[in-house]
Amino acid sequence: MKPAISDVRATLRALPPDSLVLAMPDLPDPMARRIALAFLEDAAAQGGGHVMPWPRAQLLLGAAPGAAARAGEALHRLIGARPTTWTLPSEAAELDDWLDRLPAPAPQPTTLVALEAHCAALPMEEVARLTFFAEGPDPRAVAQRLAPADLPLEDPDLRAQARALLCRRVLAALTDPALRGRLPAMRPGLRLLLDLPLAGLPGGRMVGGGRGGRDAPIALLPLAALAEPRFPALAQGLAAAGWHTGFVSKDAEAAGLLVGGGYVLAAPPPAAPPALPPLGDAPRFIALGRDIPAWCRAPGLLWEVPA
Amino acid sequence: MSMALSGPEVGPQAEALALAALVRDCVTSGVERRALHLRLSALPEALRETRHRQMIDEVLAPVMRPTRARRFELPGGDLVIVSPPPGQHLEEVHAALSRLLPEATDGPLSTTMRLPAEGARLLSVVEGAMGLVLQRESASPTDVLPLPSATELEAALRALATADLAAALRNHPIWRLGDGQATPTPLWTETRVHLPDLMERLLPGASLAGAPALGRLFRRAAERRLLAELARPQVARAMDPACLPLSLGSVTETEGLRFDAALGPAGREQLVICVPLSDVLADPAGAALAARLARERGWTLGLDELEPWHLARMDLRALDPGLIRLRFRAEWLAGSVAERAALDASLPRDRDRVVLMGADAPVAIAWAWQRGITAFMGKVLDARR
Repeated sequence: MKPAISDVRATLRALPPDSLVLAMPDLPDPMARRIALAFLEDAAAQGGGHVMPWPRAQLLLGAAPGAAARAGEALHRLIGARPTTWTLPSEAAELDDWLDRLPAPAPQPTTLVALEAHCAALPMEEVARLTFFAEGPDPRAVAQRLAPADLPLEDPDLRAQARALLCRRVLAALTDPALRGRLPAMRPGLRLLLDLPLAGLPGGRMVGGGRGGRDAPIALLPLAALAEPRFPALAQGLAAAGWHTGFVSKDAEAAGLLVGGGYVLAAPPPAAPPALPPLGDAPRFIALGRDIPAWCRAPGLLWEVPA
Repeated sequence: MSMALSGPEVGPQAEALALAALVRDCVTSGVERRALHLRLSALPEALRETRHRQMIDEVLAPVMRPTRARRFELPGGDLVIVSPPPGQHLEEVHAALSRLLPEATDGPLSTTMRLPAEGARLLSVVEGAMGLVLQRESASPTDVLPLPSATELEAALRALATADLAAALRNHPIWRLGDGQATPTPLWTETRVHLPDLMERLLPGASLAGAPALGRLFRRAAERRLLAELARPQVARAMDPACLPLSLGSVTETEGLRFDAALGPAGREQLVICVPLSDVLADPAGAALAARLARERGWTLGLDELEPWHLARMDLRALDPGLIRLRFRAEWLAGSVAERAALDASLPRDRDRVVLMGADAPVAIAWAWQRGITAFMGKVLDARR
C-alpha cells in the first residue's frame, strides 16, 4: 500500500529540527524515475536518512548535506532534473504547498491483457491519427501521415506493442470499405506517410505505391526494424512496390544514429544532426511535433504543421 | 600452437591438419608463402578417373621437384601446394591447369593465394574439406511457432518473478588472445539467461520471434530475476570481471540499479554490460541515458548482437560504446574482394574494443588477427585452456 499524502505529512512533521528533505517530483520517464530513486537511496546509504517513495514524488528524509548535494549534481548530469531541498521546520509551509500542487500520476494499463483489450476496444475513430507536413520554407501541407494513436504508456516495450496492435487495426480498416469511412478523412493530392507494423503486413506485400519519385508514399517502420534480420527483404519488397522507407522514433537522439540513406521521424534535436543523407527523392528528415527548430524548414525536409 | 582435434597420423585428415597448422604459423609469424588450391573435389565424375589424375600430377611434377614446395591432399580430393615466394612456378601451373580444367559454375577450380594475407581464406578451404564447415544461419524452427496469447505470456512473466533460473544460466569465458599467442588469458566471464530454455519451460510450443516488443518484455522479466540474485551482497562482492548481456530496459530496472549499487566502485570498474542494438534503436533516449549512467557509475556499456552491415548504417559516436560484440560469420570469408573490403571498412577503428563472438574455429581467429582483433568468445579458445 503506497502512503497517502496525509501519511507523508505526518512523517515529515515527525522529523527532528533542521532535517533536510530532498524531493524529486514524479518524473514522466520511468527510467529516470528509477534512477532518481536509486541515487536518493545511495545518498541515504552514504550520509544517512531514509527514502520514502510515494506515487507523486520520491523523498529523502533526513539527508546529509554533502551526500544530498552529490546526488543532486549526479541526477542533473544524468536526467537533467535536480531534486528540490527543504529544511524543516522553517520551510514546512512551502513544502506543504509544493506537495499539494503535485499532480496525481496518470493510471497506466500495466498488464498485457489490459493493454490488448484496450487496443481492441478503442473506437475506430480513435485508433488512427492524421497529421500534416510541409516541406522547406513553405508552410502549406504537402504530405499527410496516417499513424496509430500514440497511447501515453510509460514502458517503451508496452508502447511498441500497442503501436503494433493499432497499426494492424489501421491497415485492416484501410482495406475494409465498411471501416475505411471511420478513419480520419485523408486529403486528396497529398503525399502519404503510412505507419506499418514490423511484422504481419497484410498479405505480406504492399501495393499501390505508384511510380516512385517525389510523390512516392513513405512506409514508416519503427527504427528498431533496422536491426532485424528480415529488414533488408522487407525494404526491398517495399521499394519494388514503389514505396520509400522511413523510420519512426519518438526520441531526438534517433536523428544522430543513422548514417546514409533513410530518414527518421523524430522529435527534432535543436541543431541539425551532422549525418543527414544527401538530397534525393525521399525526404531526408521528417520532423515530428509542434516545436520545430528552424533547421527543419530546409529544402528536402518535412515538418509537421497544424491541420 | 596445437589444435584440440585428434585424428589419424597419415592420410588426408592428417594432411589437412598439417596444412591448417602451417597456415596458422604463417599468419602468426608473418612468413610469406604462396599457395595453389586445386578444387578437384568439384570436378565432374567423368573427369575423376585415374588417367585424369595422372595428367594433373604430370603438370604438377615440375613444381614439386626443384623447390621446397609442399603438397597436401585434403579429404574430398582437393590439392593444395604451398611454396615459398616468389612462387612463379605456381602461377605457371595455375595458368596451365586453368586451361586444362573445365569451367565450374560455382567458381574457378584453380586458385592461387598469398599467405599470410589470405590465411583465413585458405583455412576456410581446409575446414570445409574437413567437414568443419561453420554452421550457416538457417531459418530457425521457432519462427514458425505461434505467438502466445496475452494471458499466457502474462502468466509466464509472473512465473519468472519467482522462477529458479539456475538451470537456464550460461557462463562463457571471454578471452584475450594476442596475435601469435598460444594461450589465451581470461578477460571476463559472460553470464546470461538462456532464453530458449525458459521459453521452452514457460511457454512450450510458442515463440516471441514475431513480436520483438513482447520478446523484450520476457527477456526483461528473466533478467530482473537474474539481477536480483546478483545484487545479493555476498554474490555481488565475490563477482569476478563480468560481461552481462542485458536488455537495455534491464539496466535501469530497480533490480539493475540495486545490482549496480551492490557492486561498489571496484566491482563496477570490472563490469561490462552489453545491450542489443535493436534495444538501442527502439529507445534511443533510454540508450543515451544508459551511456550517461555507465560513465557516472564507472562500468562499461557495450553493444551486442551487431552485424557489420549495422556498423555501416549507424553512427555510434554519440553512444561511444566501450565494447562492441560481433558474431563471426563464415560468409565473411567467402565474399568478393569488394565485399570483404567493405566489411573491413565498417569495423570500428579502435579494434581493442571489439570482441569476436562465435570463434568456434581457427579461421575466425586468423580472420580477427589480420584485423587487429584479439578478444574472443568461442569453442576454439575454451579448448586451448
